[in-house]
Amino acid sequence: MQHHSFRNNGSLENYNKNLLRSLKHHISRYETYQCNAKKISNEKAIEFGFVIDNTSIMPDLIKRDGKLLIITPFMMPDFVKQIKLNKWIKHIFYIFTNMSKRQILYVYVGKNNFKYYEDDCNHVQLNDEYVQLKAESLSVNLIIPRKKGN
Amino acid sequence: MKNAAKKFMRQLSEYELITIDEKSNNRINKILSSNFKVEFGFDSPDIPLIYDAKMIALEEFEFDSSKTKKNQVNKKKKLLSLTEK
Repeated sequence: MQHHSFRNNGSLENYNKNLLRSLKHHISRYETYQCNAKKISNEKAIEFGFVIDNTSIMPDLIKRDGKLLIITPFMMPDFVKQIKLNKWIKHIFYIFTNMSKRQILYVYVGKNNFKYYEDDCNHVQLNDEYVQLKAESLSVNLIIPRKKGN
Repeated sequence: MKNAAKKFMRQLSEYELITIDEKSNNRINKILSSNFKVEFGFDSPDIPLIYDAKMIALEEFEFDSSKTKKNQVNKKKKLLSLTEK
C-alpha cells in the first residue's frame, strides 16, 4: 500500500498573492487584448471579463464564528480594488471547488450591484482563520498471477 | 472550436452556476438564454462572447492558493468568447 501526502501551503496571503499576480498580469495586457478584439470583430461595444479557475487541490476555506466559509476573490479587498480601478472588466466567472462539487460564481461588475462586494463586512476579517486542509492519497498494487497454460 | 472554448462550455454546462446579486443573476440568464456559441480565438488566439450585438472577451487564468512558487500562475493566457448566432 502506498501513501502520499500532497504539500499544501494554503494561506490567505498566498491566495491573495497568487490571485493578484495573475490578475495584474492580464490587466497589463489590456491594450493588446483590445487591439486583438478589434481585429476579430467590427463591433464597437466590446465587454471584457475574466474566467478565473482556482486549481487548488483542496477548497479554500476560512473559519468565522465557528462556521466554515468558502473564500472567493470578492472577499479580498485588493482584488475588489483592482476590479473597481479597471472599469473595463465587466464579467467575472470564478471556478472553484466546494469540497463535493465544482461551482462557478458569476459576477457582473455593474454600477449598482458592485457596491455589495465593496462592503468591508463582506471581506476577509482579521479574526478569520484559514482552514488548513491536507490532501492524502492511498493506492494499492495487486499482483494477479497468471493461470498456468495461458 | 478551440480547446479552451470547449472546456469553458463544458464547465458552464456541468458545474453549478451561482450568483450572489440580482443584477449578475439577470445578466447571466440573459447570456445563457441567448443561444450563444463559443466561436474563435482571441489573444493567441481564442474567443469573444457576443450577445445582443455586444462582444464580451473573456480572458482565462488559473491560480493555486496552495503554491508559493512564482511561476505557478498565468499558465493560461486564453481569451474566450461566445458568439450569438
